[in-house]
Amino acid sequence: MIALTVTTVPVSWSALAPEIVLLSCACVLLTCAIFLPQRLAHPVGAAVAVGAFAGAMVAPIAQWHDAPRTAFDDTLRIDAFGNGARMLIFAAGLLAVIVAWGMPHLADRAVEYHALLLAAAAGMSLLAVSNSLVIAFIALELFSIALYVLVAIDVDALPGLEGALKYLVVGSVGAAFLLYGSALVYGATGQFEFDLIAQSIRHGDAHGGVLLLGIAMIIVGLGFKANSAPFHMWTPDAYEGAPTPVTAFMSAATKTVALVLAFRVLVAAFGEDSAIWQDAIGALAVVSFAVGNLAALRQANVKRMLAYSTIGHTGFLFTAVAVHTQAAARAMFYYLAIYSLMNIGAFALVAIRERELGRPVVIDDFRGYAYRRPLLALSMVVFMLSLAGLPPMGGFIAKITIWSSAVDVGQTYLAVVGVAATLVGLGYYLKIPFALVDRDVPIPESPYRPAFALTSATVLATAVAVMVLGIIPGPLLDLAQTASASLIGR
Amino acid sequence: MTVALIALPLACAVLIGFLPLDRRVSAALGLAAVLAELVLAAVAIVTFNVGGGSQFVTDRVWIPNLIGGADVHFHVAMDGLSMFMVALTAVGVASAVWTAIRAGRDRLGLYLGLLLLLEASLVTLFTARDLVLFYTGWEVMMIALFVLMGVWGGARRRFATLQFIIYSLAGSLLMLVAIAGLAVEGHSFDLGVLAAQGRDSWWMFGAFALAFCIKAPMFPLHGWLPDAYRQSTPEVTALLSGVISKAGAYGLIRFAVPLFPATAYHWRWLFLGLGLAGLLYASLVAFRQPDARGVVAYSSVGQMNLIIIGIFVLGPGGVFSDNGLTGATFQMVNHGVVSLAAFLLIGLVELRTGTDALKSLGGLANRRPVASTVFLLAALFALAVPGSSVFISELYILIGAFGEQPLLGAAASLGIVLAAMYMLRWYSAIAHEGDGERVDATTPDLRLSELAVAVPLLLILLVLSAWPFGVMERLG
Amino acid sequence: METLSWLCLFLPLAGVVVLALAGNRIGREPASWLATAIAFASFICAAAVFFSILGEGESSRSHVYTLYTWAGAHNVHVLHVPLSIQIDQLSVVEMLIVSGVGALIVMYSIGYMHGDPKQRRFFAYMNLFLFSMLLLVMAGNFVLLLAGWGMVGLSSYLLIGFWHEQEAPVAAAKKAFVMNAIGDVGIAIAIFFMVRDIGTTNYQEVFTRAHDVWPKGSSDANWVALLLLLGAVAKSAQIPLHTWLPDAMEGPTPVSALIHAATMVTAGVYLIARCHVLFANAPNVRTLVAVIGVATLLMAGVIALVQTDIKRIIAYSTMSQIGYMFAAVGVADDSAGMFHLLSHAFFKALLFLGAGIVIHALANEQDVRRMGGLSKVMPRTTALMWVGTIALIGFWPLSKDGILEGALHGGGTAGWIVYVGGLVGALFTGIYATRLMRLVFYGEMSEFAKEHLHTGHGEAPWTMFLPVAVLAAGAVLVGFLSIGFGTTNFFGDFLAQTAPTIEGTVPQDILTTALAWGLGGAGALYVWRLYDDPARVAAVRTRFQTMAIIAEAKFGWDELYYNIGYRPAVWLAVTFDSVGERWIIGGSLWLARTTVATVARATALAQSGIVRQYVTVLAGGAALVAVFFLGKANL
Repeated sequence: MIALTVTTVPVSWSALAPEIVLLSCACVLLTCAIFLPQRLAHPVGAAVAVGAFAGAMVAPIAQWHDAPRTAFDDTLRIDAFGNGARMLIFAAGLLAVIVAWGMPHLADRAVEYHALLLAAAAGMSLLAVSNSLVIAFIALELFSIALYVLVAIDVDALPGLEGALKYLVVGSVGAAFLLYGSALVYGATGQFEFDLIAQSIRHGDAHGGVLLLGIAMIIVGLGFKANSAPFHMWTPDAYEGAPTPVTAFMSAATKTVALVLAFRVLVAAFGEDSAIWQDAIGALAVVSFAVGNLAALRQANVKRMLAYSTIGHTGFLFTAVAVHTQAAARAMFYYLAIYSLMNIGAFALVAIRERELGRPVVIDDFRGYAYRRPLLALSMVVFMLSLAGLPPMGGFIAKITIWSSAVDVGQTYLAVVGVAATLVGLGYYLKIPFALVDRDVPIPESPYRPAFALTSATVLATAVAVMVLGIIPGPLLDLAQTASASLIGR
Repeated sequence: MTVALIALPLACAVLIGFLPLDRRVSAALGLAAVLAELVLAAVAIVTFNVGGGSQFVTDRVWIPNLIGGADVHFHVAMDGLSMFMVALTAVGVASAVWTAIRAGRDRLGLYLGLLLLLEASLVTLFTARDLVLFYTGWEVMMIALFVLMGVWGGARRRFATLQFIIYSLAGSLLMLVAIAGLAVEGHSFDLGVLAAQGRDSWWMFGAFALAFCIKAPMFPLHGWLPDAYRQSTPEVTALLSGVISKAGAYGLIRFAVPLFPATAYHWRWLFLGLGLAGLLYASLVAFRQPDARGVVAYSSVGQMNLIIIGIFVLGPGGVFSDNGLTGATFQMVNHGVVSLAAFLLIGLVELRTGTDALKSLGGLANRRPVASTVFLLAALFALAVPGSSVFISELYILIGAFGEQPLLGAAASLGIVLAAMYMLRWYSAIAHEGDGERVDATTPDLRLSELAVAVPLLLILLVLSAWPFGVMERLG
Repeated sequence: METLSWLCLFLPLAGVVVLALAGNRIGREPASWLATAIAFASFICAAAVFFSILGEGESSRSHVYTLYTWAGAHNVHVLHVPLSIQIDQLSVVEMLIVSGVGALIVMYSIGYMHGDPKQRRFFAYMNLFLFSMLLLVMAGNFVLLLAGWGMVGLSSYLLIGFWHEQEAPVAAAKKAFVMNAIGDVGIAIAIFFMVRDIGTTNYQEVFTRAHDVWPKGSSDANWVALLLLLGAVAKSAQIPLHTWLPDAMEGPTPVSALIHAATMVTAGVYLIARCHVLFANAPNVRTLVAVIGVATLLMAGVIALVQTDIKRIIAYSTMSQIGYMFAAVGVADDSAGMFHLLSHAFFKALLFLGAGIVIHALANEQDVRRMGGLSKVMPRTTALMWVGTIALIGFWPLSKDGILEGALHGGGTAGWIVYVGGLVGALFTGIYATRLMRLVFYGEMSEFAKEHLHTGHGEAPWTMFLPVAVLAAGAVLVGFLSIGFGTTNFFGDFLAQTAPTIEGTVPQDILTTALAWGLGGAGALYVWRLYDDPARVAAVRTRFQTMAIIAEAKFGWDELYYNIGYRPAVWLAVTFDSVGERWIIGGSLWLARTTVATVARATALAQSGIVRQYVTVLAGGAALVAVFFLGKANL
């Protein structure tokens, strides 16, 4: 005889405030769309989206210094770690809206674009604070489905459809792995909530086959979302095919949320087994380093190259996860912030070039660009140097903090592999700066007339941010400090 | 003082590099900047208080708590060595800028901007007393070089640059890992603090030493050098061999050895052996080079290896040998000026004949008294003719080496004979016998504007030869 | 006196600076006269110093003056090198020779170099040489000595290769510089010993402490002496580093007279005399010095017999005479060696300048077989040449006898070797010296001479003739400095403190002089009669076939060095350049490049674009992860 005890869960609106804002705006947008004249669609959509992201930003900022708390019967954990991730996501969304402004082939699907963007952001935001495998899966599916559509939103473009299809098929396999993993873990521990899982592992058998298989599956699922090799294969096609603003958003936000979840679940739920999974994650990091950087060497298409570079960067981020100390969490957070900035900036610049040329951009399209748009070119140099991790850019601070955390716990090998990866990485990152200042291209009499003011402004802003945060990283590091401290003590 | 030395070129670099200025304006600005820098350096040398240790100190927290409670400081200071390296930088960049303007490089503004950026970064790394600050200077220097080499270089510039980049960063990135490790263990980025802890770690020392020995370069890590020296513009090659190679030796003296004294002492024979091998090897290779640049390039490899010998003549506990270090540091100054002069002069030859292949040169001394005299002086200093400052510094290095191990000192002394062989071949091939196929009666003698670069460098060397003590006592 | 010494040293340097800065703003003639005036001024200073030393007490004749610290640091463990000169009997004698003979030869050059496009440069170089040579002999420590040592090598390089439009002078100059560099290294390493064991290179400390740190006959003592000897033989063209001297004759004749006869090449003798303490400390090495000297004087004497180039004959005779000097210092008869150095400076410079007049008159022809009968057209030159020849053969001054007599008195193995070898050498000297006179000035005037001898150019201008005459007078007068059978003589006593001497007994003097005169005279008479009849010359040549061939091949030293020295070095260089640079280093770089490129291509190809394959890879990866975890599990 089973006794059912129904307990009413205390509702905490503040915990879900961002998601509520985003989703409601999305719904409003979709419903209004019916009445909106075509020419107003984009302005309104953009305005609503901006408003939504701004509004969603409020709660995390307000709650920033609060002590970590759980909500909805322990299925959510509202802490600076999650809130920080939320901020990054919303910022990325904001920039995605700006970059999309005035893109012809998005203009006629403006409402859908913005609505889906908001939905995806909502899913990610929920994932960032989820403390339960179930919530995590739901949130994950929420933003994944939105992204599948976003990738294909330009239905007239074949590459977009192809990318979306691959993303969908491979993605659902990845999701399946996550689901199986969750199920196995539940079977082993009888719990979905991370902290409870940890408790039962502490009391039970940490080396149970079912449990470990479950962890393995979860890692595969997360590795898929984090573009980690060998689960990366969808990335280049999706990134290349998707409209550039979407690519920018994906590369920044998906990365962030996937890493945040990975760190949270592995540390909070499976801390007992860290000795085991840290080697697995380390191995994945090494593979990602190798695959991402080597394959990128051969790419001519800039977006595809950046797609492979994002796989390579997963190596660095997984290094932090493998280390999983507070210092590592802090380093990872700083890394994610800088990474989002420089990637969005780079993709925004690609978007500009695309609109100038009206076709996909290859590296040679940047030859002599410095003599036409010096400031944009300079920003591009900043992004590439930062991606390569050279001072005085933000990427350098990111790198040294991650490596120091690795050396600290004696995982120096990850740092050394990182060095090798960076060396290979220089092989393609520096192609673009050299193309920009190519001397064989004659200096044009008059530079291009300024255009795409908003996007250009975004590019410059992100470039300045990347450089400033490299020279004065103090504030951002403090934020990262708070975020990491809210997750792990040490 | 030190801050001004860094800020001035940096500011002007931004100004000239990015503002769309007219050629003349940017040229004038650049010239003014490097001359001002020269004046600053001169003031520093004059006001320097001999035996006063580190001076012109500035120390502010830059990045609080970058990792594990270790703050990054903007900590710069100058002791004798730093000061003369800064002075060398100022001299080198000044002559490079003047040469570039005369040679009329295209995209002049950007070019001069990069040269000034290079100057700022070099001054930073020569005066930095904080590891992250030093590393920043180090990498910015590289970046400036990459562009200078990769954009304005010769036909195979891309290849040469990429090779140079990979070599350089292979060393410096490992050094970065070592810096991270140091900070984690020592809870500081400050050179003084860490040196006081005197760590003994083979891999950290190895990482530092590798970075510096690649840049110096120490045999057999010089694979990047021939292409880089041949593909760059003359003034950049001059800076590479004259100033940037010294950054490597400086790093060994300032960081690698003091941070890991015991390790350095334990491994010293590796460096002494390779240094000796490199000295003789490079000197012999220099003797067979078909082009003027090649000869000087390999000769500077040999000289840098001699300097490395002088540095690694260590006593127990990683104590430098008095004579060896005095010689090494003084040789850094001398060889810096010498190779600046040599490569810039080669540049003048290339300007006239469009080649530096020895077989198509010759006869420059006929009817060209000024050129023959200037080249002769350069060659004589390069082969360390007894009585010259170069001779003094080599003598002190060898004295140190001999004190460590007589055979080492004796064997290294053979370098003197080999130097005579390749430098005389170099000079004769350029200056002597009948006119080469690319030289004829119309080939002009050196002009006054060209002497404006060559003569000051040679004058510096003559003054140093007349009174080496003036520099040596400040270096000590 | 201190001021005068510094003036004597730095006047020539000032001359160099002035001439260099003046460039072609100053006329050729003024430039030449300026250089000459400076040289004479320097000589006057030297003379003044000499007399003021003469005025001082026997014991207080050594002075060390320091201008400033040249090299060093405040750290006491760093070698401290003061810019200091040591003025004593030995150095002042050298100062007189260098500046005096130097001044005369510079004056001679005015006429000789007249009209040469690079006349100014020549005189600048001459002044540079005077400065370097004075630095060498006046230096107060070994580092400065080495500086002067290297800089005379440099000036010699510049002046040998003065006519650098042709190939031969350039090659000869390079050869001379490199071989001297080997000697420099020897001295440098000796300095390392001093710094290591004594901590300074100042003459006085080194010589006083040498005995304590390097026990007599110890290996270190031998090493130091041997390394100094290496420097000496290189500079003084003694076996085995002598081969550069004959080639050096490519330089203008005044250069040969000044550098390669009178002053620089005898520096080795000065060095050994200066360091007699160190050589006394290493008896075996000192014997080696004597042996080298004798070997060289014999070999050079033999080669001189068959040379046909007038300058080369004199060059080999120089080599041979320096051999005598080495023999002297080798048997610890330093002042005898120095005295021969002094007289040799006069008569050898005289011979060279006389030869120069002849060459000048014969349109730069140097082959003695194309001369002859010149005594008719240039009697004054002939007379002066005779003075030189008589001095060379050893009739007067008696410097050579002094050496032999000292060796005989000193006795010992070395002594006997020197004595016998020296006497045999005297015979050779008589032969080749007279042969030269006979061929150049007597017999039938050759067709070549007839047509090339510019009429009215028969005798040289006074600027060329006067110095030669003065030198001749000097050669005669200098002989009286060492007169005094058995009893003390001025020169020996003057040098006594700085350069030990051996005074033979009266019978030894008489015997030696008789033998030397006899052999020298015999040789002279023999060759004089021999050349009356060309057929007999040929006959003699056939009789001494092998000897002649060996002599003409200069005993094969050049070939030896070419094969064991130069070629291996070049081979090594080529091997390093190809194998080391191109194959090993270049190859490994290529390997690295291609590997990365290939792997990169492979990775890029793995991205086939087929979804099936994507999922397969994903599943495979997942399987691997699962296996890894299950491996850790306890099932």
